[in-house]
Amino acid sequence: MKLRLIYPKWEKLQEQTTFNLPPHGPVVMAAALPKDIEVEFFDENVQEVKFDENVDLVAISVMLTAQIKRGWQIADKYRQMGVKVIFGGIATMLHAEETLNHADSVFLGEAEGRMHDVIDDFKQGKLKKVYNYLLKHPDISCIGTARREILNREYYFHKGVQMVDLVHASRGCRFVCYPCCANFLGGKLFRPRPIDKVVEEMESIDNNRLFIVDNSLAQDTQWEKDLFKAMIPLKKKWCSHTIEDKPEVLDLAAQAGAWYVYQAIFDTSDYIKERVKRYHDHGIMVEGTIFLGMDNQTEDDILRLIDFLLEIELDLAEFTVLTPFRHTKSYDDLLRQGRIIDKNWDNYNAGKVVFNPKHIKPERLQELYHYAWDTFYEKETQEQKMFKLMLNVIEKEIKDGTYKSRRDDLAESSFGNKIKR
Amino acid sequence: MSKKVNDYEQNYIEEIFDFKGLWDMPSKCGLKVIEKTDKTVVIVTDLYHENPGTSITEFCTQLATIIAKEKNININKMIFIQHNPDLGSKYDFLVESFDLVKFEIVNNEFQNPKWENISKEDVEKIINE
Repeated sequence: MKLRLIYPKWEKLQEQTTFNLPPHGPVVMAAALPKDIEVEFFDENVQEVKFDENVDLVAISVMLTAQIKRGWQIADKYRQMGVKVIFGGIATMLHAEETLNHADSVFLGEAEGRMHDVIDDFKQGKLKKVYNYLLKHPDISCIGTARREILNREYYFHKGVQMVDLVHASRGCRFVCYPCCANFLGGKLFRPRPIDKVVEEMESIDNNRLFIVDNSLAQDTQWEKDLFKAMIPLKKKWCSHTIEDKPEVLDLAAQAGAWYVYQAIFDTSDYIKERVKRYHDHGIMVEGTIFLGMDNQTEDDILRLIDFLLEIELDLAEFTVLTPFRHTKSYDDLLRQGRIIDKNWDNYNAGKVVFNPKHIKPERLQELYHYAWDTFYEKETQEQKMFKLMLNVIEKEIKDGTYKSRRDDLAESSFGNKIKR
Repeated sequence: MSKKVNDYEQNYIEEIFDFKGLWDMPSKCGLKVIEKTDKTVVIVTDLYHENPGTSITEFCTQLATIIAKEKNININKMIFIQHNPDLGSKYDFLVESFDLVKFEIVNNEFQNPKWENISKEDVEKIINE
């Protein structure tokens, strides 16, 4: 049986250098499929999707809200051709009701241990409209190594440099954060994967640079320390979201190859300043993720925040505007207050203002968003700052003998396309 | 649910109400029903961390209908108040809030919720008047 797995494209942040990373959701889902299923994978961000009938079933994997409408378009086209389409992934769960209008089947929840039944149903012509496994989580220990062999690796190089590979060490999140829907997706219980399985998966990846995509690693100190200790012999270099702010954890993270972290920065407090410094003291670089348009921010606050980011010598900054994704507290609050002004999901890429900010007009917030990018990268461009980030990891790799030079045969291409000079 | 007693729990939660939320997810909210001669005041409280499933905002219309049925409340005399407790956040916009939720009633079911932010004093006034 031939399954065509498609990852739809979306509009990236225009201000940010685009790096296409090998997607994580599709390879995790593919690992849950019966082994005899032939999987043909298309990542529309780096290649054209093939539309033909030479396929038994189409599966559309959607991570972001900004992908969902494109996913529906792709599904509509296949269904017109008589090909059955099933949806899964994060944004499918967030937009399940609407997605039903474009799908023969919608899979909600985590795929492990479920896909054999789905495929059996399909083979018998009994595909269900909904497979609802929300909050019915599989045993976390049955989550194995993702099926990365479905990826066309050469699409994930830029000028010969391989992009990081994505891997996860846990599911669920015990924090309830204002703009985040992780609780809805994975539940409010932190579910760490067995460390030996995580390490086994990391070891299997033919890439020295990883992105540990868990929402937050700072959920259980002992688990975090045990994970980092177990990672030390791998000598991988990695980035991740937040790490717990404790000296012994940061020390182990550094030993385990922490390269840089994404740290949410909401204000100009000494706490943030010191936190960034502590990362730096451990040789860990910091990319700030900065939401603009929170209800506590006036225009002056945003301008002050941008200055602050330069003062604390943040290594990189990713500015976004607060975006009320479904199943978040921000969505609930703004919905009740009648402040959501745009429900075109294409615009939910976190670079467009889709709500009425409390203290600023939407148009002004949009201007401030552009101003933030321009100002932060005025004296030192993104390319220069990213070069420093690369130097940091190369130095670490040279020191422990893991450095691999770029692929010369791909030096003139970027994500599968020839670079035009 | 863990038993830390906050002011709001004492004032606005009589019971933990279990319901099937979106996609039948097991969900919970705080519930207080106050019978008056001419109306029934229903206060539902978002339990955040303690609610494994759907939020009361996302499920407001269905939740109001479920509560009316289970508690045998005349929906034409039901006053529905949504309560979002203080999250204990350092951000001052995440403080306790109350909304009076107004619905259209179609075929004996609630539809099209409209939220009107009201003060705690307004809530007390509605309860006591």
